[in-house]
Formats: sequence, structure tokens, C-alpha cells
Amino acid sequence: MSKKFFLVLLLFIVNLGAVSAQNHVLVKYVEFINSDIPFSMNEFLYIDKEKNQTLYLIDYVNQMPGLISDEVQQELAQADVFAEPGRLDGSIYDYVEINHAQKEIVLYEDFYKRFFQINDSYPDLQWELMPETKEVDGLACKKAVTTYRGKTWEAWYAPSIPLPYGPWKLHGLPGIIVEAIDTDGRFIYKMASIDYNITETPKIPKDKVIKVLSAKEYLLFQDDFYNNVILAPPTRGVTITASSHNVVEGSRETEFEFDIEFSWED
Amino acid sequence: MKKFLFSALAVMAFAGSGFASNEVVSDSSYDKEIFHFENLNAKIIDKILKADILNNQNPCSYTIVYVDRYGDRKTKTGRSEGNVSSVVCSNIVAIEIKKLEETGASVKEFSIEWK
Repeated sequence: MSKKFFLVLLLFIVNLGAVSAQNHVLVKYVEFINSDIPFSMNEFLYIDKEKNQTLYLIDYVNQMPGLISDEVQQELAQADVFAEPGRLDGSIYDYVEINHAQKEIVLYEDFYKRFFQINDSYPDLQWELMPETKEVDGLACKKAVTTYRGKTWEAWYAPSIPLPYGPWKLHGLPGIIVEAIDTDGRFIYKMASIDYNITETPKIPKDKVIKVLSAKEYLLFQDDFYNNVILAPPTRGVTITASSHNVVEGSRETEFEFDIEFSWED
Repeated sequence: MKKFLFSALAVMAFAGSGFASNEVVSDSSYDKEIFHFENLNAKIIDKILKADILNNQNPCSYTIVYVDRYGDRKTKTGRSEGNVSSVVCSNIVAIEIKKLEETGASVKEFSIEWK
């Protein structure tokens, strides 16, 4: 009796695990950022099909360097001090958490060793489905175009994988997004693999959040940080020369649905 | 032109060696600075002494390049108002680096160009 009970229980647990694995999908992307000091990052999209939720992880630590132009190389060689954004100890990822069912999006970003929660507004992307097709790594893909916060995105999606999700905030197509590029060619996402056999989704270290901000508040914080802290006169007896830092210029988002006044626009 | 190169570790030792972090130490307190140097790593002292700090006073200029999270570079330059010794020049840059690190930046390289 007891053996039978445990056998049934075991089968139940195994079955639960299999169902859970089918409900969870992991898609790995590589993002290439074509900036002054270009680099690639591994990024991971965890999909919970049942709950219609996604969690997107951006690995800011293990970056793969790209090719730096001669001009930038020269400038770097002449610099006396070279600095980059620091991160909290053990902090690898930034996160984009989307509840598509509830139309909620929350970002978690490590900005100069400060871990912020940013409550953003859900991107209701309006895609134009285009007639073009192409094959990407054996997957038949179709093209779609959308505009979001000042950037036009061109995406290639695979209708054979009917998951309406994609990298970063991009979603809402009748197939997983296999490639996406903004029309300036600055941000490029490419799907690297897809895994249907996962059971766990990573946990966001929410205990490290020091402040919860809206998207607008976060932008204003960055504006103040760069222009009044990083570029502030450092010491008595020293004259500083620096141009103001436009925090949206090279960003994935350059225009906003809300009114915002940046310091460099004065 | 003289150029001193220090490791980031040396910078930290230098910045934390007793200078007031909110002001430039003037050349009049030079002896005091030397006193503080005695507490520093011998290797750093050796480098500074080799730079012939006792005989020269020049303008101190420096350039900071920092990259944002997208890999775009921003440049900030600083120049002393008048001539200073290499010790004071080092101090100016050390304070700047310390402040940068206090903001959460990660300083990868550091040198001082003292013309």
C-alpha cells in the first residue's frame, strides 16, 4: 500500500515537473551595441507561458569587446584617467520583468552601484507586418516594424515558434523574435538558442533595491548624476572643461510619452 | 614632458593618505605631504622621487574619459590655476579619482601628465 502510494506520488511529481518544463522557455540572445567602444552582451529571456510573463536578464559584466575605431583608440590612449560605471559586488544582470497579462513592466538596473527599481509604463507596441521573409539559422522568419520611444525597430520573427515575446521590451508578434535591430544600426539582438527544458526562473535580488522610481524620475536622476556629480568641479584651484551629458542620446529610448525637461536643454 | 604612471591600487593609497579630500594641498604644505608619503608604499615613493618633484613647478592638466553604460565616451578635462609641483598635481588627480569612485565609477587606468 505504502509502496504504491509513493510510486503514484513520484509519478505525479515527475509529471508536474514535465508540465512545468513545458510552460517555461529560455531564449538566449546576444545583443551587439555599436557605440564608441562597441561590445556584445549575453541576454536571457525567461518565458512563463502559463502566466504570460517574461523576465529578461542582461549580462552587463561578461561583455565581449568589439572593434574600436582608431580615433577612439587614440583618444583613450591620451586619457589620464579612464572610468566606467561600477556595479555592486556580485551584481551581473539588469532585469526587465514584464507581466503581459496585467500589462505591467518593471526594470531593475544597477547604475553606478545603486540598484534601482523602475516602474515603467507597458509598451503596447503597434507592429506593421511586412511581406519580406528570410531564413535565420534554418528558421523561416517574417519581418515586422514598430516605433517605440523615438526608435524604429525592425524585427524578424518565426511564426513556427508561436511565442509572442522577444528581447528587451520587444514583444507582441505572432512568433518569437529571432532578430531585431533599430534602424540606426546601434542596437542589434540575435537569438542564439532556445531551451524548452527549464524548470526554474532566476530571482531578482529585490532586497538590493535602494529606491523605486518612475521612468521619468530615473531619467532625471541620471541627468543630475552625470551633469552635476560626475562633471562637477572637483577641487578648488582647478578649472574643468566638459560638455554636458545627454543621457538619452545613445540610449535605446530617445523620446517619451511624458513631458520631461533635461538640464542640457536649458 | 613627464608622465607618471601609477596603478589603481597606488591611487587609492595616495588618495587615502591623509589629504583633505575637498581641497587641493598647496605647495606651502609640501613638507607635510612628504611626511605623508613616508606612510606610503616604498614603490610609490620611489616613482615620485624619480620624477624629480623637488625642482619643478608646472601647470597640471589631466583628461578623464569615462564611458557610459552603452559604451559611449565622455571627456572631462581639468587644469590647475597656475603652476604646481608634481606632488600637488598627483593630489589633484588622486582626489578626482577618489570622488569618481565614491560616485560608483570604476577607475581602470590612471596616469598624470605634468607638463
